[in-house]
Amino acid sequence: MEGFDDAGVFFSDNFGGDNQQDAQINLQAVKKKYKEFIRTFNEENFFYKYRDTLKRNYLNGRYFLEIEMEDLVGFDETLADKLNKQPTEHLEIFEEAAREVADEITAPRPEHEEHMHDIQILLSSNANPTNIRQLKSDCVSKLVKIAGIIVAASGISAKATRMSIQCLSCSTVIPNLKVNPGLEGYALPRKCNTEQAGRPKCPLDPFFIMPDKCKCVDFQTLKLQELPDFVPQGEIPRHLQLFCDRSLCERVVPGNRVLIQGIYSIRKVGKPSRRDGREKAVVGVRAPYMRVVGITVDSEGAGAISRYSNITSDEEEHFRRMAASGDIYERLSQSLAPSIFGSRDIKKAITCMLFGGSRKRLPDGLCRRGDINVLLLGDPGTAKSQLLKFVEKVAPIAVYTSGKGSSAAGLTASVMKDPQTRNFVMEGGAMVLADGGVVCIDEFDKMREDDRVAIHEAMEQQTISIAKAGITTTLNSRCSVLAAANSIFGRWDDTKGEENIDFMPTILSRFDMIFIVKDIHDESRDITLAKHIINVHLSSNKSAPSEPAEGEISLSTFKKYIHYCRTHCGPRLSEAAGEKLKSRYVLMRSGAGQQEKASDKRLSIPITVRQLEAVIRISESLAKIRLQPFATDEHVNEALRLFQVSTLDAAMTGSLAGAEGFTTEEDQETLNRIEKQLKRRFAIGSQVSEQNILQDFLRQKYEERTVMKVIHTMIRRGELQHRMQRKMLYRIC
Amino acid sequence: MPCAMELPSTPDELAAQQADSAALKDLLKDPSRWHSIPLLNYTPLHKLKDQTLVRFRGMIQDMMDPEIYLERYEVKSADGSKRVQEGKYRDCLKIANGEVIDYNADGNVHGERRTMFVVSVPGLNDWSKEHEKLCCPQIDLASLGQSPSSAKKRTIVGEEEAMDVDVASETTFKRPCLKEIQKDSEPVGASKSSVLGSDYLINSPLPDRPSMACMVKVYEEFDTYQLNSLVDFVGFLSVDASLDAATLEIDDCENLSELQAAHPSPFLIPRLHAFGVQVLPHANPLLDKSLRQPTEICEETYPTHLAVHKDLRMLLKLCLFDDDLAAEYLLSHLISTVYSRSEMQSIGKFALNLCNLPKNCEAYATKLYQILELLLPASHYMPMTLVTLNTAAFAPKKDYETNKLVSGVLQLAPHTHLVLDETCMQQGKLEANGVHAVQHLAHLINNQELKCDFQYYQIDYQANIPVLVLSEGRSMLPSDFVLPINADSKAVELVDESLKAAHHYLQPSRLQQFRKYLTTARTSGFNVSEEHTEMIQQDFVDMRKANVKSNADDLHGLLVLSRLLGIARGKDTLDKETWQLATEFEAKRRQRIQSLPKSSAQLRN
Repeated sequence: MEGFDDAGVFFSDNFGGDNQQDAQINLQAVKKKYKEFIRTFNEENFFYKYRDTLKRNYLNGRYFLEIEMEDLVGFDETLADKLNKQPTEHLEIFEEAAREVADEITAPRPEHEEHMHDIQILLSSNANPTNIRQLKSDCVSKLVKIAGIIVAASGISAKATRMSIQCLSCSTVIPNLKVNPGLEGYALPRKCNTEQAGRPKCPLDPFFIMPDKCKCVDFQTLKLQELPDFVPQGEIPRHLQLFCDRSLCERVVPGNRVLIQGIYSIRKVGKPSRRDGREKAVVGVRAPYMRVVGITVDSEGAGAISRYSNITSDEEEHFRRMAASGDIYERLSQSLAPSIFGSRDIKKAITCMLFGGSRKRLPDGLCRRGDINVLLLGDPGTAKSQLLKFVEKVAPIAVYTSGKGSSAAGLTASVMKDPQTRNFVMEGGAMVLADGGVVCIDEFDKMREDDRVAIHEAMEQQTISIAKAGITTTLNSRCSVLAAANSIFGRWDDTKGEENIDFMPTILSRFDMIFIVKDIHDESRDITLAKHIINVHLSSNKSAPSEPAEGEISLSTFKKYIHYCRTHCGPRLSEAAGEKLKSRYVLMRSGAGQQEKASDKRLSIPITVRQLEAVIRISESLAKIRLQPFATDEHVNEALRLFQVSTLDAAMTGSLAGAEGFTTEEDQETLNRIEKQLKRRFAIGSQVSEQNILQDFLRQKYEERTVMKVIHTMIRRGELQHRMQRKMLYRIC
Repeated sequence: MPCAMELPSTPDELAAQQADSAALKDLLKDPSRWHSIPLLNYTPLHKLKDQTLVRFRGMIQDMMDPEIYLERYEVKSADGSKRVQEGKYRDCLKIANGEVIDYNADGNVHGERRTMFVVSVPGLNDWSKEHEKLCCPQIDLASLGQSPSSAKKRTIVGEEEAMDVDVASETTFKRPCLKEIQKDSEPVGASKSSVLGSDYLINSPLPDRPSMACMVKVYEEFDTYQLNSLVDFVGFLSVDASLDAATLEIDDCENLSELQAAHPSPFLIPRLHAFGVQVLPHANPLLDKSLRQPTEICEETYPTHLAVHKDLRMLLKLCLFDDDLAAEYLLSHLISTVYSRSEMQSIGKFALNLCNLPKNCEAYATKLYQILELLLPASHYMPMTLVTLNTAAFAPKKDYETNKLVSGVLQLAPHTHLVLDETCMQQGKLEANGVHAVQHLAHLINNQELKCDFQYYQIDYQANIPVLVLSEGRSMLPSDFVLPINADSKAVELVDESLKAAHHYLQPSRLQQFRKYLTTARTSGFNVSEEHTEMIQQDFVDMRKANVKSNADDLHGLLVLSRLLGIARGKDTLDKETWQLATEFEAKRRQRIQSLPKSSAQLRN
């Protein structure tokens, strides 16, 4: 009930005083220090960071000041330590100090504005956040930093900071009571102590609050949930209630990933009722909550705040050592899905993809992507899907989706109508969700061709445009694509070569590396494979999680290392390496030309600038794996080798002929013939069963695939339409 | 192990024993100690007094955040004297009339505890329930009259109420507490409009087979519990009317529905303060030592493993249109379990698709399930109709409004068999929910993982639910083993009679054998010796030579099948015979698949 005049009272230290006096003096000294900090903290003698910001903020009507803990530590370590340990008391002093400093630096203020606003101090720090699970009782009333995802937000309400109460019977007013910040309420005094002669004593619980004489601030409660990657297997994510006030309100919405700086506090849950005049058996349960003093919202995609972004200095050193060791590239690729046997080059390529090249912004504002796209083509049962699944686990951000059943809308973005509000809302698809990471598309071949076209933009421009239901916007999808597709015969048929695969070259050329995964029959390889599988079954008998084998890197280290490299390194091609690449590119083009001449066919993957860029990206990623600033000769060599064993081999063997535009002239002629015949026999406005058409052409010894291709093309051009569950074809024009 | 110490009968006694916690732990290790404790699952609440010692068996359906409570606190009485009171293992603070709790006393100790939301095992079959009930000690009402409560000076309304209810019959037991809620809510005001339904609060995974729920508060090692695991808790019952959210005063900053979900009426969902925990490896009550088995079962002579295996195979063959191969596969399926996980694979799963069921057998799938139901401790039959797919909740979903994990059909305890009947599928449109349902099912079958929806992301929980799909054609869901049934035309005609005969054959004593056999087989281990490893390698190489299309998945399948065939025959290591049997079966199975009619769509691809 006292304390409203704390600030102004000065004590002298003559007698050593008792404890309380000590505290008072200390507070004064501390406040002085804070004021000094705000006034004098500067960088290079020029920029008075906090003083200037405070002034600017105040004049703009934003009554808060953000303080970086590191600055305070640099200024006065003990002060920062005190703030960490007794944040409730110290923040109050800090805010008062800030208000007084603001008073000094904004004076003289214009008329009507003599009254100073309170300044809110917000804190931020670079420390690694802890997790809700790790908050134990020893953190209570300390300053902590945690990471999480906001799952619920309340509306804004008002909370009194100072209030006045009045006794009902004797009208005594007790003014200016201080209410503790946070969620703890204020217990009204039960008895009125005023003694007035000749009056009966006031009854129990006589006070009521005078709302018009209260000073209030906005507040909002939020609910923070643990990040999913912190949750151990079989556990439910934990929650923590957050209390934000003043300028911190409405900073976040549910779904945001945030870093919270706050004071860990405890409050009672549900007060017991006092019915029947006696206190019922009390349920003495309390719940922890957090008084927020600083929020950082994750702005760069979903991955910036995760368990893997917590890198301690020990780990950092470890990573540096790892990068310096010569065999890091080999080790990483070996640790990629160790339970999958063989496919070493594919694993190397995927390792490169996980690290990625460097994104370049050209002077004219255009961007060249740094992400590497990989396509795996070939036999079923060659563990393509498992590789994809593993990548989903190891990449810091990854979305796994299957081409079967996911339309382009599901991959890119779609506009949905919210059934409750009847508003249109936009839902990001897999490619938007994986922004900054990897999107794994399984059964790429099962996707409808139209859908594959829809991700063209996403793959090269790395944006997704939406123009639906009145919403036109562009979303970022800066992600690598790892796709897997089966050969159209279900199994790679060497005699059929190019016919095994049926993709538009426009999409093929967007993949930096294309691997043809063949299930090779080789006795010694089969034995090793069998041994490997038996081991998987047997080792599991012990039911203990298998420790990573010698030289292998554990999944979590892998993940952290990727994150570290991606955020700490953006290598460029060195000049010498560039020269080398130039000459090799010329060779490659002429080589491809010769091949085309020799086989009298055009390659489905033309060697163009796109492919040159691909090699550059791969070289950069190789440098990034080793945390080097420049991609050297050696990296270019390995990149060229990878490119050779993947895309070039696939193209050279002539096994990647695609659809129109890149089909041979001979093929094109067949297509034209089929189309002409079809148009001649199929009257406009009529309806024929698709099966009938097929049978008819098959009798004429046309290939079913070619006929289907023509039908698809015509459907895409809008000349034909599917009817009756895709059984019938209808000719529109 | 005879032990001089007895289990505590009240929280206070337990607190006194707490000093000697090692002895208490030893005491709980002895399964026979558990015998005398009544099972809350099968004892009507009105027969139990507040703070008596009870057990609850069930599956952890949800886990709440840890809460802080007063472990020890000071009480000031009216005359100024102080005493220290223990607050562990109870919800209500214990104070006598006129006493006041000193919240700020220096001697107060705060502790942390965690609430588990436990539901009785979903899909537990009737026979297991009945057996558990049989094992549960019966409480006679007379014994309740002892230990007069006046000595304990409690001022708890709930107790008076419990006494009132004692007299009332079981059917009316719910009424008084309903009235109580209404009475309570009146003075608090109109803000009580949104009241959560009891179905929502109890949160049964299988809505048509409702479970019983209990909120168990654990005080130790609460980070070690796993969602969906089977647990047996021993602790003190707490049913006090004041635990109901309706009696609490609500702050403005608190969410009403969340508070209601966290504090449901204790008469609907009782509380249990656990001090003894036992994680159950399986749900079969016949093999549970902590249950007092009726004597006649124990004494019975037990036939050899092989003999039971033969009988059981014969029974299954009878039910499967005289198809021997199908009987072998189904038997393997019934004892399958995920015995390990490596990276992305779950080793040991055996999702079976029995297809090519004869068309003219009306409701054959349900009849087959009736037999399986008698054999398995826990199972669930689900007709795959468009309506169920489109409307039922499959995977659990987090409701942030009430902070509950709203359960779904797939939230089942380990080893609960899921039987999907695809014969009732019709043509039609699968809506968004249906598509998700199929995806969840496929994910469960492929990875034995359950995806829980947390709105902003999904979390995978490991599951161990063998899935059997019965279909006419090949199932639309994936499966590890597709086996077309080779129905004998005579057997098809006689199927009704065969099934009747099977029911007749299943005498109680035989049933017990089968039940024990299945659970024992499921939990037994298996090994492969060095020499056989080489044999398998060679076989695989030959297989690859013989058939171009065979791949690593086939080897996985063979290994799993040979393991189960071996275990079924009572072996603990792989031998040549079993391996050959497995290869032979797989060859036969592949042949049958080859001869299946192919759809035009498949031809084109």
